[in-house]
Amino acid sequence: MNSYVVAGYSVAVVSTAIYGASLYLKKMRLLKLMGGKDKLKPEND
Amino acid sequence: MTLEVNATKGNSESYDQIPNVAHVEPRLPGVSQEDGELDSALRASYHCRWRTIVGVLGLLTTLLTLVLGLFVTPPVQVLGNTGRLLYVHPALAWGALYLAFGTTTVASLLWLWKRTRSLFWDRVAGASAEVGALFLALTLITGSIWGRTTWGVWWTWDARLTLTAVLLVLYLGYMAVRSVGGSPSAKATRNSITALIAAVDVPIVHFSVDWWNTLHQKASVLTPNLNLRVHGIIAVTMGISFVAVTLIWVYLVRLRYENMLLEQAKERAYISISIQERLKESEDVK
Repeated sequence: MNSYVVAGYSVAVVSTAIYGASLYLKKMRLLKLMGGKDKLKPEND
Repeated sequence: MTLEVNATKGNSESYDQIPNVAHVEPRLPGVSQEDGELDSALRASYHCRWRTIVGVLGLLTTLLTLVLGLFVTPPVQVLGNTGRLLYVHPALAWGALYLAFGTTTVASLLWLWKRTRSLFWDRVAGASAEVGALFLALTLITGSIWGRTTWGVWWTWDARLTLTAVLLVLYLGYMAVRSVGGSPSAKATRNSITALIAAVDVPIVHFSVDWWNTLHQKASVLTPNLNLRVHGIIAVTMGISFVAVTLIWVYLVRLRYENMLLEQAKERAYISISIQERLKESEDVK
């Protein structure tokens, strides 16, 4: 397999995965700070 | 005036030291229209199962693209194995230029139009631009790898390449403008105008290969009459790669949108803390 092709695929997949994971972790941190997901429940409003 | 000072403090990183704001009622005395909109959006974000479904579908189509692109499709004529980048580079360009920046432009217009004005559109515009900037950076990187193998250089000041790099800088600038302070409405208007200015470069990038003699090839997937130039397993794999990028874009934009909601709720809670502290101080003085 052409190493340039592998590099192209790798950089695209890994960068997107890192960005997605960082968004998910940030969301978890913010939810924890706000007191958990249950605070957003419509019934609790 | 007090509110503005506290709002600035709410953005401060030092406030991240506060361990938990769960005990704070995240609402100012006298709920404004913007606060009401944020509450509704937060409640609506609680039930969002479709994001997970879209994420799983995006992951599956990405894996399918990898398998087909790397192991199943034959080497492309003339280009050989380098042609396998066809299943990454054009799909990312589609995701960035047309899907992400197109959405940012439309959402910005919907904010500026009074009939459809809602902070929802400002958040969608910001989230889409951020994901678009990532995809555009990846388009430039994969294009650079393509250039090294086919043209012999990592970079050349070709019209398409240069204008795409300018577009990336424009959207990075848009993201910088989004972080400037102000009331939510003033910020959204400023963001929308900036987005429309940045969007001017998108059609220029698109038509650059027709307007100037460029090293970058002209449109190679569709003819001007919208007929396919590629066929068979190559066309199928390209189609799947476009679907994969679209699904991943939807997933990431939704996730970024939810983060924006929570960031705004956190900021509002910090402002509420500041106001309560000031009120307590004034009562103590009395």
